[in-house]
Amino acid sequence: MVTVARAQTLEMQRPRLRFRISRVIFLVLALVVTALALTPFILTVSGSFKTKSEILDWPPTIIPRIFEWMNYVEVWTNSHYFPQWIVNSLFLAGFHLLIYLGICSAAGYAFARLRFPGATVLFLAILGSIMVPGQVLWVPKFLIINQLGLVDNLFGIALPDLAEVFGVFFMTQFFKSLPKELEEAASIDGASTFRTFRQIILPNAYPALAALSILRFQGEWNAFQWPLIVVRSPDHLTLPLGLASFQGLFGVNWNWVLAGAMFNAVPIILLVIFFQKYFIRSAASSAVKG
Amino acid sequence: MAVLAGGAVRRPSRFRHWRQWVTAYWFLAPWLIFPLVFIAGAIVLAFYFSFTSYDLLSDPVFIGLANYQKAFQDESFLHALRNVATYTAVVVPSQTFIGLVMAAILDQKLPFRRFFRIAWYLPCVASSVVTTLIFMWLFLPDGFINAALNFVGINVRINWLGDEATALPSIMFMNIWATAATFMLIFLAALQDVPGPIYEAANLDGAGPIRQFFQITIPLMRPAIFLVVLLGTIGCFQLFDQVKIATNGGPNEATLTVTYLLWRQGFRDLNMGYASALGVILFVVIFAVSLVQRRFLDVKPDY
Repeated sequence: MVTVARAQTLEMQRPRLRFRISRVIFLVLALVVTALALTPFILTVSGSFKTKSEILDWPPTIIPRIFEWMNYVEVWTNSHYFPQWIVNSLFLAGFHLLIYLGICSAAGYAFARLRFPGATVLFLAILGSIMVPGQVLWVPKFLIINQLGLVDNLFGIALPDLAEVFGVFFMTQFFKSLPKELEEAASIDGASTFRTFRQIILPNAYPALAALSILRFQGEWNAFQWPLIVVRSPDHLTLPLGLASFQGLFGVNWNWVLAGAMFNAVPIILLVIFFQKYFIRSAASSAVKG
Repeated sequence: MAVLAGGAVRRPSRFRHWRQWVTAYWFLAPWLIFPLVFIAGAIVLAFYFSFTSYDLLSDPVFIGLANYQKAFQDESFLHALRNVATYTAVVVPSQTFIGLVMAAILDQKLPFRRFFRIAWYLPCVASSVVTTLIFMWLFLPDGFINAALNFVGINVRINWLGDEATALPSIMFMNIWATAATFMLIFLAALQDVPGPIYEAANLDGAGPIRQFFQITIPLMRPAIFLVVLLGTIGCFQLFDQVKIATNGGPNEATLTVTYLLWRQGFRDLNMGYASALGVILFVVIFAVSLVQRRFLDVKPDY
């Protein structure tokens, strides 16, 4: 214990010094974390430009001696399915955004604004379904898809993905935050609920729909487990599945594997850089729920 | 049921909104049909098939609890459970602690905060396939992990993913790398909710930043820590992608997980009934673990 007088003099000198030192320590730590997070990506970019022989060198080089741009061309041409995988993944993401955004915002609107019997029970049931791990449903979902004749078909991936519940919660929360006056004015003018939704509510929901599109695009573009179960033929694979099979096909040609991986990673990395706040907010909102 | 005098009066009012009900169901139906089939229907089917023997080729045969009995005598399943338990016991505390430290660093008013936040978050947004492929390459005997170890004077040429002793720890490492920042974001949101005056009071009392962190920040963040531990545990029990892509459960079942076994039983060996039972057991285990965690961790902070 120090006397009051000494405590005061200490406080005059210490906070500044401590502030500086802790700031430097924190900055050094931040740089260490940054290095750990980015190094694998930087090495991947470097590896994707190495020649077939240089990528096998020991010790591995950090900067390629010769920049082999052809890896990016060869990955397209050597497996003639590669462009097809990109098309398949784009199709899945496009189909999902087109259909899912429409049906999940309609459902979200019903939960947020319309009164109907069973609303609370239904909402809680949907909330509870999050507790069921996706893998538990692999077998029954596959058997349903099999009955529908959609095994090894892109729609076999796309249709069950529409059962996604995240978007419905997301849109419900958003519609609850909109001022009620919006619809009240419309209903005085005699507009039907459907017209109000399409002409007044949806145009006001563009920011939420944009955020949801980005998150769902990421989900569909990166999806691995369900597509793995549904599709088999090489020309029906999605880009992540194709890349995973690549490594078996090409064995030691890591320069091609890494170049191929860039086609999957770069679009998402660009999205995160340009639309940072959407990703951060969605993670933060999961904290609010808890 | 008896008709009371009041019932006649109430009845029209109960259905007054029927037009709105119909509209509401029209809004719901286009989406709801999918979760009804692919979640609710699938849950029912998962239970049903878990009591059957079904290989897709012939009709399912009801065999009662035999699949469940088989599971608890199946050496592979018990081994997978042990692997997953080990994996969870290492990964959940590590990623929680690292996520918390990362959030604490970002919560300082450092220069380049926005850059740090994006850079740290990138491992979480790349697909599991990409991060797994990258680490398979880094973990090669001639790869960068061994090169880095040699650089600091540890002369090894370990086949990280190919050696029984190091395969599971390697997958632990890559997943901590890939997920820590997700949890950092949850902690960051929680840190910003801690009331500032508490720190001012602690400053006046002469508590240093480290002491403040352990005696103020961590106790106040218990709800966030609970959430992170819960989400982390659920994620760990579902470990699949990395195992499927990098090791196929090997070498010698060293990285076999419950979900990988489920996939192998269902979609390689076509034991749909047994795979369903494994799924139901996985669900029960995850549910039980999260209840236990709620009991010990979920405490409201008292200011």
